[in-house]
Amino acid sequence: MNVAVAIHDIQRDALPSASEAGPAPKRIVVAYGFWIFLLSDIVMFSALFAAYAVLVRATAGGPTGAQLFNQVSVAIETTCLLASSYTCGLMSLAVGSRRRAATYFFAVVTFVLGAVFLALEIREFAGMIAIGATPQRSAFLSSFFALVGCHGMHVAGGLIWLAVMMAQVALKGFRANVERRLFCFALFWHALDIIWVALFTVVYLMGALP
Amino acid sequence: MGAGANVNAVFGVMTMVIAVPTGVKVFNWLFTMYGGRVRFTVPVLWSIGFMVTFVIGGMTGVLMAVPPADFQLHNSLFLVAHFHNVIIGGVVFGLLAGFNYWFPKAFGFTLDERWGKRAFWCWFIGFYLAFMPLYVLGLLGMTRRMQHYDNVDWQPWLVLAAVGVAVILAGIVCQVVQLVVSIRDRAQLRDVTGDPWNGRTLEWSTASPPPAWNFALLPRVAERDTYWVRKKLAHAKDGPPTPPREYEPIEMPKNSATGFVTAFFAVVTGFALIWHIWWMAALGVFGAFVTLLVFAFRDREEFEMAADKIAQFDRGHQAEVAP
Repeated sequence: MNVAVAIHDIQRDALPSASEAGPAPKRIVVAYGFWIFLLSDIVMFSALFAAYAVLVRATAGGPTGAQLFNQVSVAIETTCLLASSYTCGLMSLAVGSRRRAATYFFAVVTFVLGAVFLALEIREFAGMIAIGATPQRSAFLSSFFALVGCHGMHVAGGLIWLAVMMAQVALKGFRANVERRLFCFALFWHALDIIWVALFTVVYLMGALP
Repeated sequence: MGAGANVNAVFGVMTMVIAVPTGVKVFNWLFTMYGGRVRFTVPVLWSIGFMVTFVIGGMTGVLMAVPPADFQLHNSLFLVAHFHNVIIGGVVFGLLAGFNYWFPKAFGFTLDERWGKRAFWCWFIGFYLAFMPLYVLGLLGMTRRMQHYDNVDWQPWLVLAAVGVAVILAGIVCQVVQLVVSIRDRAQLRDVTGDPWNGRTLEWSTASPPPAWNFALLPRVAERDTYWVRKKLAHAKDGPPTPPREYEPIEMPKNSATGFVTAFFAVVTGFALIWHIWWMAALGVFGAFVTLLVFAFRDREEFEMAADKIAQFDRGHQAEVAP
């Protein structure tokens, strides 16, 4: 069927006007509030991105990005996080159709991919600190650890959130508030993915330029 | 400063851009008053004081959008005068306007008008005495955060600023006295109608303080100033008859101490992080997390306020409002 025709077929009069519809459903209100939180989070990240962009050459004679970054490890991290966003989307579909086993399965896959990402990032940080590339070494490294570490902390928080949500699904089932929280989690996880794409580009690709 | 010409250019342009929406806001406030009958109550005095002071602060601020000028003014008392001009004129005056305006709505009695006016005039005059000399001092070359100075040219301006500080202190004292006097006289100052300022917006159609459910009947908004129109129609003899008030139970969120408890643990965490007390930081984060978990695992989040309870409160309020 032609999509334009299908839209035309929708009965317009059936929809009440905004003032007659009464208060918005809770799902809409919750998602709106969560979007505001996400946008405020992105504002914070943009400040950290700006700091990094200004300070990327301020290495104070210490190691530069080109010397420190291991592109193979970062490529695996990126793959894990992008794949986890995909499985998170599959989890949302499973929640929507009330399939409990599929929800658990995709949640576990999402969790494992996120945990692998986090483990690789911690290994990268530990390796850098071991050779003296600590946040105190230069302004470049301060801004690097602040930006990448902040994203990593968000991922860690997201993993804890996901684990709690699975406990809620197990104990409370797909109640309306559990479903709303899973919806917010999916928004959060996708937002972290978008930030990582920018971070990968700005920090690991542009920051490694000679 | 010191970040290179490109960064300076970006900051300069961004600072200039701020002036555009701010200008729109200022005209917005002015045209709100234009054509109206301005009553010089305490909130209006604070609002006008806010507008005048904030605009002066904004104009001295936009000067600093020009990087060469900023090179001179950076770290000088001119800058100090500028940001106090916007912070005190913009935040403190605006906050005190709102405090005087909405206090009766929140607590059920108005604030003492006489002490409020004293507080305003002391603050307003004191502010200009204290901070206008700092512009001059900045142009005379005085930098901020000096531990001592030996320039006699600065002395008279600094003495003048100190006099201003004393006047501001008197304003702060008046502000405290206003609150104490108002609490003492709360019986005479009680806001019976819930609409002490003859307001236009819907919060003034509720009782002061409003009940937990805010509106007994969800107001139907058809115009910009629904409450104002409703009051005008009520005064008109041939206005439409008021529809019978039929009450329905209202779904309310249950009370919860979660916000308070997590805020407590956040303070513990912040304190511990500042002083590098790692076990305490871990304890604070753990406490906040457990509080959140308890909140998230509640089985009931809402309760229903019975219709007859709402009806009883609302009929009482309607009887008080009726002339």
